[in-house]
Amino acid sequence: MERFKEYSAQIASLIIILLGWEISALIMDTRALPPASESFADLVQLIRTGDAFGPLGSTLFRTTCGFALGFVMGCSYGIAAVLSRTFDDLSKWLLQIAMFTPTLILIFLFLVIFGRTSFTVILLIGLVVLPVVGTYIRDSLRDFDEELDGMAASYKAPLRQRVFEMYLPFLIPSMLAAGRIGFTLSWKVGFLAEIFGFSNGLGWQIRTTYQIYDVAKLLAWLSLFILTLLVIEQMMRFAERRVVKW
Amino acid sequence: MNWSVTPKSLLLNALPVAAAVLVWWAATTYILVQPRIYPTPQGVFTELVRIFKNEGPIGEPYTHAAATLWRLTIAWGGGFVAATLLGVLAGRKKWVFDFFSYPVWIAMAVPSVVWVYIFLVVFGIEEMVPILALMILLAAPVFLGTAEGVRSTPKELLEMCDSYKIGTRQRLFHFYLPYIAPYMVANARVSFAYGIRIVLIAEVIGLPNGVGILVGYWSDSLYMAPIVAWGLLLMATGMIVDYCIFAPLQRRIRREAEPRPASKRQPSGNSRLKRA
Amino acid sequence: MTVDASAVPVFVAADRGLFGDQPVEVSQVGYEQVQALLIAGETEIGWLSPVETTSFIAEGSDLKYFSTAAALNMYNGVVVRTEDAEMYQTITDLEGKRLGIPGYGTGTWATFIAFMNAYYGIEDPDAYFDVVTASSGALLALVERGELDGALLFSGSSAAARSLPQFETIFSFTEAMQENTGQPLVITGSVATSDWLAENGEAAANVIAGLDAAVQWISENPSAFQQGGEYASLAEAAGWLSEPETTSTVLGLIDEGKWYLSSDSYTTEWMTAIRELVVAGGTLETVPTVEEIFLSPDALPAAQ
Repeated sequence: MERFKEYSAQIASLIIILLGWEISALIMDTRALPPASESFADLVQLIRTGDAFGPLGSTLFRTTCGFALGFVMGCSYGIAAVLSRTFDDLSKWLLQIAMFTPTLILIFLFLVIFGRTSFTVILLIGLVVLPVVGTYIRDSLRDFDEELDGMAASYKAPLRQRVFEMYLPFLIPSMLAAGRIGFTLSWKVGFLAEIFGFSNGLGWQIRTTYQIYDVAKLLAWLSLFILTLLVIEQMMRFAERRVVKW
Repeated sequence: MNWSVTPKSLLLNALPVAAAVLVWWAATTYILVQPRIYPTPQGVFTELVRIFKNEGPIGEPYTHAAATLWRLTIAWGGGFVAATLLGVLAGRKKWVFDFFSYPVWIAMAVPSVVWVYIFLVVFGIEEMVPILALMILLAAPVFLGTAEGVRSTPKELLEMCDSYKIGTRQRLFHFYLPYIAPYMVANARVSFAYGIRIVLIAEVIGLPNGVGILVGYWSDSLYMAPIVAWGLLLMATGMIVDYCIFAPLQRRIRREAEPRPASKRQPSGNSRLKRA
Repeated sequence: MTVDASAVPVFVAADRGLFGDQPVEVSQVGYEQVQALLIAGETEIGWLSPVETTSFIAEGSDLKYFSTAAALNMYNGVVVRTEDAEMYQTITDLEGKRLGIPGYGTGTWATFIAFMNAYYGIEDPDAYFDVVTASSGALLALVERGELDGALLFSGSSAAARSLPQFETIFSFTEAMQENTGQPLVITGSVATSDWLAENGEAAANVIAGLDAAVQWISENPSAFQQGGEYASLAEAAGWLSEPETTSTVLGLIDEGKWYLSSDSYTTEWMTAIRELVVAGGTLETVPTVEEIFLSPDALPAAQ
């Protein structure tokens, strides 16, 4: 019953959005805002002909690689910053800088400096995700840090045991939370990079359709983007529930 | 934990930044010699000076900067208030949270450029277009954070409120606020930093002023130095606000909230430890 | 070789092996990135506007424009709503009206200024029109909604706008240029560094020959670019397929040899006309000579 209520509330919101879209499109009656039904017809067409999968695949590939890179770097940063005061000091300003650099400017710079390869996008995503995941992990570790260390010291636990039995159980929930935030971010940064000039993937398709004023198709690509993200999100929530239970 | 700033730690903070600038200088002076695309630190500095002297190609830089900061402040403030209120509601009523969970995800997932485009089509060229686009993106994480904060408010406390028939207002200020205050400050801080990063994207389109227009101009005419200069300025603004307002605020709230939520949250950690 | 999506013949030539034995690696980016990559030396041949090439050269870049083979005719320009077409018949009718442009830093705007100076006696278009900037895709939406009276478009949006019933083109660069000088104006064309050209004359000649052959092939095989055709995806990215009318407009112009030029248009008269446009535009203090901007057609060896 509880589940049923949850799903019906979620689905109700989606239906309201779609209805709002359809009705305002009918009222405005302009090429600038085609009705939802037209866009979905385009979406079905994209999926049926298989045209959707090339761009989707390349965006997904870059996002996943970039996210993995940023996540690993972020976690290592968080752990290192808690373990070593010197490292924390050394990296503090750099991390602050990374936190506050406008994404658009990063995209422009990376594009000209590293060229237009997938590698550039992956690096870019990694760099944007790093500080977010890094500070999250660092702060949540620090919350427990003192207590833990005191405890570990009094038990004289060996490093191995400390890592696997104390740090990891703490880390996993915050890693999952940081992962979820980080993945959405990666997905968006990758997409933006494509919009601003990497010549394939979903973002590029949106840019192209936008330039030729084919809004129905633009919204079809956008829906594909959102649907994929929602599916991934559901998968991650599911994983999180399982792990937290354990 | 010792958080005092010592000369040694300051030196350690600054060292890698200085090294990075040095590498930048060396690379643009000896390897990538094309100042138009790979600006040198001196070039960027010259641009900064020009900006401070209020000289620029399309209107005064001060006007553009003021417009951008104004938009950011309005969007951030409005988004924060709206999302916090909704978030409190969602934390209390499960169906509100469920109802908003997809729209919020969509709001976060769709990039600001696309929001700007949609609003531009619906509202025309109006000041509110970039503001609304920013607001949506900044509000979404605040909403989620607040809802989480409210949900972590202990049940017993609420039951107590119910049984003593405590009014909504009092309840909000005396019971919720202490619990969600740390979340609120953290949300405000994160969304402000996010705003600084994306405000330019929302501005590239369709307005007579704003730093986004300038950055678009320089990127179209392929001069990177002013772009880097504006990036540095925005970054500095974000860091100053963060350092002077949010960081002290967060410290204070943490200190005040310490006895309650902290002791509430830690048992989970302790119990796990004991098991281990 | 780096080009944007409008350079369909480049992709066709690469795909059909029309460059002969010449190994050509084609990569596609946005138009703005072509400039950046070419100037940064990340690509040998880029696809640039001759007007912009001139200003890059004036600023000290070591570039040379070397062919109009497969260069896109500059059919983009200013569109208005169809119902306003009676009211705004020429560009000067838009005086004091809201004109949307894709950005002050864009080559399209720079070229527009040059045209207004050179042929219409408008010295400061920014003051003459009520100028509003918006990204190119939004411009059409804003014109359709009546938020703007007219819009200056990039090439990507113009193919769509030319054939959509909602819009009427009242000014196009190449047509205005032809009226005034008898020469066409192109959006793009092959540009490389002069060092590279000096060392790789034969490669450049092969590229030119391949591009000419590709344009020829396209005009002989229009069906390959229709919905479901062999190169439908190329046509789609270039904006030809958004509506059936767009497709027939573009393919019709290709058939007449007007959409893409060939190397035959690359004459001394054409080069002089382009340079004079830049001079009349008044945006550059010193305009480089024809020899500095353009590689003489005789400078290259014959293609294999």
